[in-house]
Amino acid sequence: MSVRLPFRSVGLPSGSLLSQYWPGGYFRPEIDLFAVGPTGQYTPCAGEIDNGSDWVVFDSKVALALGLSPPFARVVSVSGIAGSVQAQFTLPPDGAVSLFVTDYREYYFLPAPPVGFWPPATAGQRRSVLGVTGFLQYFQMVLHYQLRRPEVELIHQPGFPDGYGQFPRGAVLQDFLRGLKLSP
Amino acid sequence: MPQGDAYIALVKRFRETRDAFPEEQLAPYAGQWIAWWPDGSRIVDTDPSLGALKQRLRDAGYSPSWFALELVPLPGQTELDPFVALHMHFAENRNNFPLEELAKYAGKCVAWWPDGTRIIDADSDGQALIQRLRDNGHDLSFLVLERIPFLGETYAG
Repeated sequence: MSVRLPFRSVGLPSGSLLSQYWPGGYFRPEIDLFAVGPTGQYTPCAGEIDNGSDWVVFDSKVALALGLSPPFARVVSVSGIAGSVQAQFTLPPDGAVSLFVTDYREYYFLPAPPVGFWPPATAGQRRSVLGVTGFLQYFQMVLHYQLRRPEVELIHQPGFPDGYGQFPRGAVLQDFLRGLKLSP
Repeated sequence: MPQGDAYIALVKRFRETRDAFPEEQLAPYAGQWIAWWPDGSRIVDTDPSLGALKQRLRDAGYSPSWFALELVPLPGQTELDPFVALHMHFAENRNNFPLEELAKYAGKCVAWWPDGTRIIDADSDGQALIQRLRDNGHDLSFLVLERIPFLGETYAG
């Protein structure tokens, strides 16, 4: 039981320094998943796997797509880029947002992780990160960089908070997610 | 019950074991939730209600999260959800999307068709994009929103 998710390809200009180290193309460990709102409504989203991040934090558009209204009551101050940048994000109550990860063969459902949201950025959006608390802490993570198209494999550990299993082919995703979200 | 690495070794066998489970033996459970032993070798309990199944497992002294939970489709329920049928190809198509075309959206928030083959709208203001999509009657659970990096934009820390 595990899910395997492809990395996101990154366009690098030919001649850029990074491209010199990745002649076959460069991929980041950014994966697709779903954020699930309080009544089971969902929105597809993506986040970079980052075990240097203490938190899961999404761009504010994920909250807006779920019908939530940031900023939220809980405020967290963080630093990034080796401590050179300070920022804040806010969190709704745990359980307001759940996370659903699937490779369409199997799935993991995290019912109540702490999920933060960046404030709206004046230019562009902030990067969404899948950090340790509420996400990576529950998985053994294997990065398959040996593949031509790299993938991350997530294998849940004992103490995983809620549902995992075979993805239900034939089920309506909305109904399935609502069932997971609303079952005690 | 196995813990730690022993548990992980158990769940790593799930896919292979579950795939070998005879489908005809699942027929009586159509429309029900199944709790599988973590290696997929046997069915522990079933119930039409996920909540009731989890409660019964708790009452028996188990953590429901110890088991793999599966919803068995009803007979004839073989068609994929239209969104799923599209979105399961999103990552591959997104990764193959022409770079020169993607570069036109650098720094913007875009709304992808769920299979990642085309961008239906974009805006430098994500909030404005969401509002416009809603105003135009789009279901935000059907689209994939993403901020497109600048060509050559690299990250550290």
